[in-house]
Amino acid sequence: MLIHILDIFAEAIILVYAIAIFIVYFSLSILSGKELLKYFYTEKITNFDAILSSPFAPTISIIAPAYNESVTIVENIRALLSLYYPNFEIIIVNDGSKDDTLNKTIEAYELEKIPYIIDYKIECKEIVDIYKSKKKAFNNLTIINKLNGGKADALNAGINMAKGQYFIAIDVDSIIDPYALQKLVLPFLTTTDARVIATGGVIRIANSCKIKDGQLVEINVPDDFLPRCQVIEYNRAFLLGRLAWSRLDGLLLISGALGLFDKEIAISCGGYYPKTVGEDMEIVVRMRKYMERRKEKYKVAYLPEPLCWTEAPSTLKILGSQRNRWTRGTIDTIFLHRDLFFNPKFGTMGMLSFPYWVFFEWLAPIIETMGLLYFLLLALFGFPNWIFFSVMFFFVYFFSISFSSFAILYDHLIFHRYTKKRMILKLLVTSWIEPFFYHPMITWWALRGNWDYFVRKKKAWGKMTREGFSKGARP
Amino acid sequence: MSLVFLIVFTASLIISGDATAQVVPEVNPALAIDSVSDTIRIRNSMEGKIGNPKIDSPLYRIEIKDDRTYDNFFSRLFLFDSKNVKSELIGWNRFLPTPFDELYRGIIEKAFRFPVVFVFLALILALAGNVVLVIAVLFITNMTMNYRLRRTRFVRDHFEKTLTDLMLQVTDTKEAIGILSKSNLKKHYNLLIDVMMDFQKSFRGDSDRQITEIYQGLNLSKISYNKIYSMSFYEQVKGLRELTNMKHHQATEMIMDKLNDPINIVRTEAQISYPYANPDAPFEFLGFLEKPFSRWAQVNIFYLIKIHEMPVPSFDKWITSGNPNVVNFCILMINLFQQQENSQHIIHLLGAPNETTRNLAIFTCGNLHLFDSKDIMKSSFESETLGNRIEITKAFNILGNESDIPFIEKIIQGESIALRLEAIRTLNNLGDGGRARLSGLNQSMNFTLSPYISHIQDIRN
Repeated sequence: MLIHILDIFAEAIILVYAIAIFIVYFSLSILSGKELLKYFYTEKITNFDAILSSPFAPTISIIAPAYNESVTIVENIRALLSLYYPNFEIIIVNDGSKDDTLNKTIEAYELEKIPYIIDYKIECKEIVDIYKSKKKAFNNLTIINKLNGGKADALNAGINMAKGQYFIAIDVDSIIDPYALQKLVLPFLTTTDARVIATGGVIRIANSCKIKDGQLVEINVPDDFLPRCQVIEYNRAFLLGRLAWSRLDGLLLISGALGLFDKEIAISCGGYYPKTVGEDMEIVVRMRKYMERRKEKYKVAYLPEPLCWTEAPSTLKILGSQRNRWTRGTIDTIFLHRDLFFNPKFGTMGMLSFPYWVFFEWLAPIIETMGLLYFLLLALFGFPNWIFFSVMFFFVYFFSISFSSFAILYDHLIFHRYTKKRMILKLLVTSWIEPFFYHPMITWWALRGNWDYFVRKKKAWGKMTREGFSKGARP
Repeated sequence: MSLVFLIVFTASLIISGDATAQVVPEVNPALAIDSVSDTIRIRNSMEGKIGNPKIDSPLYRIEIKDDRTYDNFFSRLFLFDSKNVKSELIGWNRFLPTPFDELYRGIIEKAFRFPVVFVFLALILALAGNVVLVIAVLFITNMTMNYRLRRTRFVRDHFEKTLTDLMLQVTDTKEAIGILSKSNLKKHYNLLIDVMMDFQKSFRGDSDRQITEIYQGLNLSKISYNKIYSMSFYEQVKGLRELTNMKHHQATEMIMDKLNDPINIVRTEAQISYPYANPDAPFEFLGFLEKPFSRWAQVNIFYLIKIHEMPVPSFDKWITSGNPNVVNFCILMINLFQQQENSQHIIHLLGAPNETTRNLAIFTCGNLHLFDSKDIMKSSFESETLGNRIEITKAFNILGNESDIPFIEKIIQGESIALRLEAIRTLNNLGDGGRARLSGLNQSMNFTLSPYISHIQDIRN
């Protein structure tokens, strides 16, 4: 009797969950399509040149934490210096690198120590030295040399030094589109009915692309299977998920690789939380919470435009470690802000987007695994109804590839970055086989992340092997 | 494979209106055959062979049904005899390889027992169709995009050549209108308007007039009008922009209509277009603004004024506006164009309720050297926000003299490092008296001032 009840209960949960997830994804993709179209037309009629020489352009501080980046640091700074924006400063935070990151930078940009009083508006590890260039051409470049404290701590140090009204948090090894600043700042200037507290953009995979002097010169679909799967995954996350959440005013995550923030709000709510590995999501949630508590109208905007390119992990080991960290970061944020869960005081965030993160981002791999184990158990005892199984299997599979196809289509229609037929075909074929090979691995690493978080109490970033310019900001 | 079959099968049922052969593997001597197609291949499931059916075989009963009684798949499925439909569906297993036969039959059986299976089957078909459709769209658009790009480039080149000839006086306006009014070009008039607007950016004087003549000559304003009345914000913006750039006599009227449009982007476009359409009185629209005046519109208007060297009026007219965005814009413009005549207005705004307005007013007081504002700033210092206090301290960098040393000194003794730094900078800039006081403070303060002094003395900070 008990087994029978459990049986019904398990089946009901899995079925209801599956139906819910499909409805949510379907709705998100419809919303995204609408929003994407709006962006496409808005972008066509926007004159970005107007801001390039405007005294009205707000000051932006670019903060880029660097840890053992000696291979690419000089080139990356050069790329940042050539961004098109009238009023910006670059703050590179050397987070206690063990290699010669600092020396290479000093040499390349003729830096010298300067006397500097640091106003520690946000807590961070001790800033040892500040460097500025002797050359006037690099007047807007500042290097902070500080004790190692992790990415969030480095960003806090950068915020303490930032002079801009807004700051942009980036991974120093990412390739930023030269027009990224003028595009990212747009929602801050156009929105009149609310205070924009943060803006994010699309992160794209740069594997197999040609890069020269820190600039992207030729776009290609990655040759390797793993990065190619990540192209599809990022497309789904950014073009179908993130955009729709922005439209619903429920966006909780701005990728750590590229995000523009209102400095005043970020400081008011305490900056980045250094004890989490999911600092990118945590700060957005905290900023939103702060605004909700002040009952001030606000907005977290999002641009579906590919403004940042990053190299995705191409080995299982690095990818696994990255996904493990993302999972731990998500859990950390969820538990740190558990008071948001179905809390009507926090509006859409409390009632919609936070529960979505709990059920469909954190719990999805767990429920999926439970479903799989339950099915295997049934199979072992010869109970499964193979007819129903095959119908459901095909339904799930086709839903999955349909969703991916839409992500590829949206990207193609709006941005047309992969111009050759061969490239599109490669992506399509990858999306057909990805559910059988890539998805189970991602689920496994997510489970490992849960295990590490709850059982091993692991909170650190873990050892990241540097490979080109890969650090892996989550989509 | 079974899925492909399902798609083919359903599609054929929906599309087909012809007679459908149904094979039932049972012996039935009562054969009722009207016609049999030679091409129908039926699998002999009992022997596992593929071949043409033997009509007289005792293993089969072949029925040819007339579809006239069953209009389509759905009517068969839901409205009519379910047994017939079921057996008909099962009969379609002949398209399947043998290993899938059992599974297929099972699915049909289950579907008739549990209708939800039908829902899922329909969803599978829809999703599969969706994928096929997406692939088709992807490849078709990829092809058409490249074709359209080539075609657009070709037509654009043609338009550009015609307009260049006109600019270089190889042809005259009449001739150009003749060339451009050819019927095969009419469908590209949107592109022509874009090309004309691009030309307008580069040419002035006579050339500008010739372009607007062509616009009117070809009656292109009709296209722009239609855009303004479109539902799409994109079209509305394009329409407004075209009418304005082509100096259409009704442009201002249209702009006024859209100045307080509920759609932000349309409203912004109208605000940006107004100065262009009315270069003699470019800012009159400020008096009509009821909705917010975005910073983006302000950026664009400033850009327009700069590139077209438009005359800038005195902004005192709108500085008392009830719209805080307009007031802030006016302060910025007074500051940028150094309109000293509006100094009293600026000083008055030091007591504005809006924090940003006060901040801009403080900044402008410093920049315009409004010494009368000093006492007001000093008296409001304590009640101001940190940001505005910093701005006041910075303003004293310009406005201050030795009489202000006690005020600055008090700021230095405060807690805020940012304020202290600005105050030390100000004191350092107050001439010899200020610097002497600074070294005196260095001895007496309960904290060391020298690192602060080193900080502010490095011009890079």
